[in-house]
Amino acid sequence: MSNENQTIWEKLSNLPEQYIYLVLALTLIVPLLNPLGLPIPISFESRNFYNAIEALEPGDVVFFAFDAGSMTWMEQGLGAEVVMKHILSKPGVKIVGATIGPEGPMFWEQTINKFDPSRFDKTYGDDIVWLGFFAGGETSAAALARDIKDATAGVDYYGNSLDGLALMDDVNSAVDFKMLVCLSWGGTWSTWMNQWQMPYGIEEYVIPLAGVVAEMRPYIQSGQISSIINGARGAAEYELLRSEPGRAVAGMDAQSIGHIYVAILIIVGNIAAQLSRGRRT
Amino acid sequence: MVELLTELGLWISAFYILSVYSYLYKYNRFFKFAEHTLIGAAAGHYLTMGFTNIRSLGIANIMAGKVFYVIPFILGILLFTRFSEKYSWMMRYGLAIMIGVSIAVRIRALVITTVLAQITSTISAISFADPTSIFNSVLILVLVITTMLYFLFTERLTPKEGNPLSYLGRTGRYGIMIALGYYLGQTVMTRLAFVINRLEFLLFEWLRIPR
Repeated sequence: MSNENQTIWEKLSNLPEQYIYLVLALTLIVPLLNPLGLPIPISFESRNFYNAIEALEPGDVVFFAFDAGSMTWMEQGLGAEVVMKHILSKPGVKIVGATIGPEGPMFWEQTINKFDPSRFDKTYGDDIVWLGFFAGGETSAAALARDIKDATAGVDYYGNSLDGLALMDDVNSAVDFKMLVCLSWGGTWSTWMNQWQMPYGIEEYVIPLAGVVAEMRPYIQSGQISSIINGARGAAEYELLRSEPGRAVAGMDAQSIGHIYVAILIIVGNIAAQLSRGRRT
Repeated sequence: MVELLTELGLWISAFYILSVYSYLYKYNRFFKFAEHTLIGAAAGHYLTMGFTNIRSLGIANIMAGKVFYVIPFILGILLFTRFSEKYSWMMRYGLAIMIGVSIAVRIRALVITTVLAQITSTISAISFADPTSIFNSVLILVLVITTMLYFLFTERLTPKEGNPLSYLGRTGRYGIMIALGYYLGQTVMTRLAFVINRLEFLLFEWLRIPR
């Protein structure tokens, strides 16, 4: 069919994809440079997550499964940082971290160093312990839940003996922790749920990628997952709950406009496809 | 010196981000270079982390007198026999134990977490306390049952004209389509978050445009 005989819908459906990407870039850049200040309602999930951390008392120990990945950190990092800062700011609350993702150690150190635990009167060994990366996925998570000292060969990520770290005197298995916070890289939330939440009944709070939240829904409804931070949106809500608007809030206008653009593309694409099909037949 | 290295890091990051996004225009040598760098760096990092694990969890335990840790080492080494035509059969022992242990550890939880707990929560979600609860309960019941029926690939339930029972499967299919729409929306949020984060880096950290 020659170009002159094409309808506007057919021309739209034949538009080179470079133009679509260019407009997408513009729809994201403009609100980043000129924030619109669109309202961000707080979901009950973010509020539940926040309340659970807020309710921690001095002496409580949180197990932080820090399954971060370099290809997902752009979204994961928003939730991880705001929650880490919240836990660090709670007086007397302690953190033991570990990961079943090989890139976890890199991002753990980046996050911890960013907030400088000494500012919150927290010291390594007394308030924070990093166990590091464990290959083996579900098997490793199960081993850690049962006996940390056995699973780690008695040393932390830096080679310190766990017997010499005061925090590890109080905790050695899943039942010793107040809650499990899981920064989930893909589907690792289910690994920790299977090996920590289900057998030991520990409450699991997850910071997942928004893209996997849909498959988590049944587990949230059943109470196996206590609450979540729903991707960048959830992180923005959490920042507002903490009254510290940061990177996540700054990106929300662009998120909203980007979603509107994608919705328009879907509608226009479907109309164009239907009309083109009708014209061909 | 530190400032110079920080600045260099910013420029390298910006170069790789732009190289990767140049793919949206067309496949080119900058994208290819960035792609190969990522694969190389990831492979190197994974190898290092794997080796660190062997050293800290395997060798350390053997040195501490736990001799039975030699067994996983032997099984691990057997995995490499796949590179030999003559001895590749030995790989099966290592593989069989890995798969066996993995299944055993997972299956004890999976039956409860993905089947029993889900059935229980679906039943307990039914409530007739108020109009909203009634609507939600009916929706859950209808869509759970019809979606399950959609996966019974029998002649009677497969969507087909003139078959009254096929409407059950068809309703289930609509339920699946709604769920897939939700999946798509959530996935778009993740993808946009990735792009926005990198755009923020380019605009505010690399180009230093004031916020």
